[in-house]
Amino acid sequence: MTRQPLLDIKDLTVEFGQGHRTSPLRAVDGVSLDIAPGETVGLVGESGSGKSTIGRAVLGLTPVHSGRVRFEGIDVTRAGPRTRRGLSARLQVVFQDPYSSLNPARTIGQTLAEPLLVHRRLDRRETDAHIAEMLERVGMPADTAGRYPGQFSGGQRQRIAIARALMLEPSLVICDEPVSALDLSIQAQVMNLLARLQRELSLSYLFIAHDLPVVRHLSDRVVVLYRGRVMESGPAQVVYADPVHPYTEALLDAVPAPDPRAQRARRAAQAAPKTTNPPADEGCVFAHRCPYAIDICHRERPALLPLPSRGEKQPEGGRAVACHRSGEPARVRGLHT
Amino acid sequence: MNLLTATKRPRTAEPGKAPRRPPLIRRVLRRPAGAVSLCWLALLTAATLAALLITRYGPLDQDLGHVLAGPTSDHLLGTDNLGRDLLSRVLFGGRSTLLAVGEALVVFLLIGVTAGLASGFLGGWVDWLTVRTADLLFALPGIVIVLVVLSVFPGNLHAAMITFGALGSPGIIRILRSQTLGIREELYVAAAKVAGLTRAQILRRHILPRLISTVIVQAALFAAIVVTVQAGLGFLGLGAQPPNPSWGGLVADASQAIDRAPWMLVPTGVPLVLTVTALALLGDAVRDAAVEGWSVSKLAAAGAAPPAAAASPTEQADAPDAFALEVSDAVAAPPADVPDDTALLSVRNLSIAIGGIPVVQGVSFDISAGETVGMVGESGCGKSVTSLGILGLVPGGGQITGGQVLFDGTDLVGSADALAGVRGTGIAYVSQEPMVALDPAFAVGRQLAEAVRRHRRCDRRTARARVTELLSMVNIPDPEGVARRYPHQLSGGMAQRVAIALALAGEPKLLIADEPTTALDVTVQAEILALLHTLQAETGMAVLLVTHDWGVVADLCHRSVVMYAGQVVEQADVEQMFTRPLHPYTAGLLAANPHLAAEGEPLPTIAGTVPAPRDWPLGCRFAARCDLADESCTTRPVPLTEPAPDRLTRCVHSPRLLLEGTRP
Repeated sequence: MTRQPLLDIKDLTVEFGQGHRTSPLRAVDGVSLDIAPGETVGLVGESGSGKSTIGRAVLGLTPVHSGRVRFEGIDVTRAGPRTRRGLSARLQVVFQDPYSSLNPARTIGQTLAEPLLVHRRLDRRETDAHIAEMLERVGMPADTAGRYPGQFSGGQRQRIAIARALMLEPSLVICDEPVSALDLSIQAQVMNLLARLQRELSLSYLFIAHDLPVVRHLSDRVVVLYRGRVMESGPAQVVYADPVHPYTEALLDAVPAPDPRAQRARRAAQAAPKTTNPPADEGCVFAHRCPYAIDICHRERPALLPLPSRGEKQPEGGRAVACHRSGEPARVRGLHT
Repeated sequence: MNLLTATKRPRTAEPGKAPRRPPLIRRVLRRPAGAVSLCWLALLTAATLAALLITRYGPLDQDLGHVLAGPTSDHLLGTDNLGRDLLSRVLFGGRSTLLAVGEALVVFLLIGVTAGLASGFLGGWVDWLTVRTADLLFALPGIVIVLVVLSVFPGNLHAAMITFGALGSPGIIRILRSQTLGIREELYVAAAKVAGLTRAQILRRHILPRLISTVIVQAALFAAIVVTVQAGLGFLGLGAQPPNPSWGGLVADASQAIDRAPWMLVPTGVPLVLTVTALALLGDAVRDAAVEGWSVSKLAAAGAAPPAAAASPTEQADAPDAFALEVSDAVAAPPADVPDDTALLSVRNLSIAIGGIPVVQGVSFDISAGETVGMVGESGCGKSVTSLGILGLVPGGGQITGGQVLFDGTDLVGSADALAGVRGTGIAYVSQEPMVALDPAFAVGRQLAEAVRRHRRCDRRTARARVTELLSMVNIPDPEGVARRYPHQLSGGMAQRVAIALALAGEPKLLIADEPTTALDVTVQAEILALLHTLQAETGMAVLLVTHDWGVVADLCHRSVVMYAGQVVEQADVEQMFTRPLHPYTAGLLAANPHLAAEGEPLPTIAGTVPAPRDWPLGCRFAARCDLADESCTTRPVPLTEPAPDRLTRCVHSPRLLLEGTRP
């Protein structure tokens, strides 16, 4: 980590007002993360974990309560419209819902021409050529530009949305659940496309998803969020193979294995899901759902601390966990409950 | 269908070129209502402008020798009580009417569109001020204000019409404001912001195009109102002062002479009626023409195909034959045409068409009591349509065109009585969107009680007790408390539990669950799947689970049916299907799973997309995306065969697949 990070988020907090009487909802609570050039960081969590809000805050679509967002070394936390306009060439987005992210009343060509309109005054022919090139890059037929979004399937629309994000030369693309609305087979196509484009154009991604296997496949590092706080972060493969935080574990266990025998064995081993009580005001936000929770978990909020290397001499590669019991080996933890 | 292809062909004639749409005016003229009404208005405008070329008489020329005459060669529309030529008076009177419409409309749109957009898009104090002003204007009686203006400026129609335009604008302001509020939250507006577009650019490029149809319709309706109001003012003598002609004044004159010359009402009244009707019709036609490019109807969306995949004329011509062949083949192929008596649900050769286009063809499968069958395939393969077809609920105005659905020995196809007896108590349904399944206006307890009392006659207290029981069955903590809540107060997972409880109210023997967990978080999905597991163990009901997630199939299902392009392509025991799929599509779907992917390698994919129903080829429908495809695949329809016991597949290469497996 000697290079300057492309995106650097420090103690980001985002709050949503809920009227005069109730206190504001803290959607993101002191989250820090950074993305190096060419790197993909995955942001995982359930709905309500604040993962999309982080993306929107970086893009300036949601006001920041406190904390700092730096992009390419510039503080963009409260950037005005003019600065944002300048950023838009380098910082782009692909949204989850391919049906709402393209204006049904505008042709694909008109939509794709928009970024050029702001940044590069090209004449009609150059614009058309650039659009055609970008459509080809994302694997869409050449006559796409003259058609309306209504004529395309979800997967094709997502390709078009990706083309829009890449019309200029972005260095960072925020991918807000870009594949979760798609069929599995189409998911694979779009993920391969994202991976290929990353290689060809040396992009960085902030990849937001609720599906850990999907995130693992594209990401170098993952950050696991729960109720606006970071639970665990570290290299994607390591976190996936050996989760330390009980929440990460729960997320992984929840994904049904696409193998009937394995899944049957897993189901037999699983206990009945415990009913959830409202979370405690203080203490670990996950404590009420955590099978390993002990007294201190309900009283004191665990800080996000670097994980001490455990046993073998493998470098933990910047792993951090917010859990009182992260130091204990998993088996011991299980015995205590 | 032929008509459809005929109009489609020129679009696809030039491959690689975007279809050029004719200009708006041509598209309006292509619609009969648009053409007729536009012609009338154009004719009227031209005639009023060129009035002196059409008639020899001026509007004030009196011919006292021919008073109150009917149509003659000299006076084509007859004369009035002073012998003035009615044609001339109608045409000159029309000038003031058209001018009035123009003036009022310009003011109406200028104020309405600007204020509506600003109010919805900017929000804050602009919104507050606009809405309050609009409310105030609503409260004022428009016609009284116009009369006041006319009393200040006697006979000044311009002032009256400008006032009327302003007074009419609150309606369109409120409509445009609420639409803008909705559009402002759309993701494409967020994407445009990220792209760096200014507010003005976003308004012009993203918001206005979406509002255009509303603006057109509102403008047309308002124009029609202006015509009648202007005529009304004329009738009351408040418009153009006599002897100058106006349409309302002419009608007033005609009404004075109604006993002596009833004909006079015709030339004075008919233009008024025609103009008002034409304006309303023209509005609809222009709206339809303006949005025809992008507003895709449900049917067209189902058949939406990328141009590259658009069928050639020969394929189109072959399609009906393919259908005929297909059905006869399905008859010959196993599973036998005879329904299985031992099964709880036996679907045989079910075919469904939407808008005359077949979307499901010859689907057969059985579900035994207590069994869970997974129905797998990509979007657009007919899974949901099939599952809804079982309940006689084909979406989009579709119809079951053939086959049988036997439930407990009764054929449900085409029998409303049999369906009514089975829905809820025999077969229940859970959809993907729990929030849509629940009525937002009623507390969930009330909705559940309604279902309970529908199925078993009982008093309120028993029903309430049963509701609590149902809610605890689906693992809802504090069932009494949840029963009092409204759907919006529940989380997605909780709402899905309530939807399942609703389905269980009639103690069904079969539950059809259409992607019940797709919209939920993985952790919540796991809970719902576990719930379905226990419910099945407790109640012994059978489940038809529609999904595209193999993990869900592996978790819950005993058998699985794979659908592709409206057909069953493979059917087998789940374990066998996972270990050795006998159709390349199944194999491809199984492989394209990020859960199994090797690190750092691209995911295996199935290239291309599912063909739209109108583009289904004669031969194997998967051939275009299949690595194994050769000539034998494309020449004739592929029947469903049974290469191994209890394994059905629709692939000519299945013997080879059985030996070698699909994965190299």
